[in-house]
Amino acid sequence: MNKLLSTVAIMALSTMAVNAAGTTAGETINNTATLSFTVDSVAQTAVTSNTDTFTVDKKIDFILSHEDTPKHLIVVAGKQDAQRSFKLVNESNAVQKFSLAVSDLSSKTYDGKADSAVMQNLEISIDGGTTWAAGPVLTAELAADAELSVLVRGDVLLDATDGEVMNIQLESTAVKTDGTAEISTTGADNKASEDTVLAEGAGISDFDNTNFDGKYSAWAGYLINTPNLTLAKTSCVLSDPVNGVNANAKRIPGATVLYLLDVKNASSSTDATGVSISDTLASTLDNATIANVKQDDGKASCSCTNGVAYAGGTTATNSGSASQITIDGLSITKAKHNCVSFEVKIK
Amino acid sequence: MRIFLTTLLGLFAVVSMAQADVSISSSSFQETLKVSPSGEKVKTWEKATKVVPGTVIRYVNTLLNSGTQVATKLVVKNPIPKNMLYVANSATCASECTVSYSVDGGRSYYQASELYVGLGDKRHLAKASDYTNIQWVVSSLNATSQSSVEYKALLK
Repeated sequence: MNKLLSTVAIMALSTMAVNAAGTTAGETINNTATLSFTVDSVAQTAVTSNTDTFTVDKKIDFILSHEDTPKHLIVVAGKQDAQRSFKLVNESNAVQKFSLAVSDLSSKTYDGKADSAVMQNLEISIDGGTTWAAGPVLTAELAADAELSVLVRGDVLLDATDGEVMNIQLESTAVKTDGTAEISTTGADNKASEDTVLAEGAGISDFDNTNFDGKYSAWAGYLINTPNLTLAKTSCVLSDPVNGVNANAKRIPGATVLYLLDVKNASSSTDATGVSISDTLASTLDNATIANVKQDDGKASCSCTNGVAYAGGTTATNSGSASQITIDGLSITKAKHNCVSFEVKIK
Repeated sequence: MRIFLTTLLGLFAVVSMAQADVSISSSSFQETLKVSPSGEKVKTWEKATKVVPGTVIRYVNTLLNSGTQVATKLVVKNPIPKNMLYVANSATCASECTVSYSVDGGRSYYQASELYVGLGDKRHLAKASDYTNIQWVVSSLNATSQSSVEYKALLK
């Protein structure tokens, strides 16, 4: 029975507080042994050893991770303040301060997507998005095991094109209270003092971080999914005063011409909305005869045939001036065409 | 009177001779990677200095009998320091001995195979991390000789 120790007793003995990061730096660890013995079967006075003591050194260990799913945020060209989120965890056995720096990655592949464009105006926030700074940003001292949420935001170039990738890096560096980088204590150690040992991992392994250099980086990305529009103009002649409506009508004064504006969205992922197109008519065309202004979105292609009026589509509002066709609010479905058509007579 | 004093002094001398002068000292070491002159990497146990969580410490208790009598039944008791976990099967002796462990702060000691914790359905063989104290019983230590007992523990 005396071999059995109650759980309560065990718990009572476990008074030492150790966090997940390990024994707190600066603590002293003491070891003492006692010895009893006999001589000629006579018990002698027990003796006690010296107390062997050492001080637990500071082990700097931390992890920075990108927290978003998917790894690449879908953005459109011109998007501003596009945010990515990270988490910094202090796995040291002591409080630790960090410096954070964000940069655009050039020609680096992250999560299978190679960087091909540049993010602008990258900024960091460590207070949930209240304040932002280009950095480097110094954190407060993080307690052992404490986590810090870090946000990064940036702007997408207005002329970014569909499918382009912007990868960024957030790098954390362990720093002293004055902001200078922590370094491992070199040379012979003082058993009684608290030294520093850098023990963090490498972060993203194919860049400039290595184990135990006091730095840990994480990457995040952006993927441009933006409409890719092109505009082509063609025409057919529908009729002339001599041949009437006829496939062989000629472009002579008084002939009616069908103009076709082929607006193509080559993006495979993003519809275009709110598109405006304008077409200034040649002076040889009679503005007063503009008729049958239509738009026809979602077409596989746009084409016209001499002698045949444009079939399908819906009436579109021309808000242009006398010599100009202007149509606002057009939508162009991804990977489709919007065929905008109108008829006008030759003077 | 003179005879009495002589006898008394003789008795003191006998008692004095019977007292073996045995001492014990404790030292700590940690494994360190060294590069030999030939460039070979060699692990050696050096004085424990740069210790961080996860470091394994080797504690060595050296027994020195500087007397003239054989000491017997040398019982060494070593509480495992706070924040440290005993490394299983690491307690050894340089000479003949038995090793037992305690999970109750040194009130009782048993061999590892006989040491249990918990009550009822929760009762199970104590794990190395449950140990609170180690006890070595060294059979004997000759005069003017030394021996040692040791164990390893991991810093949490």
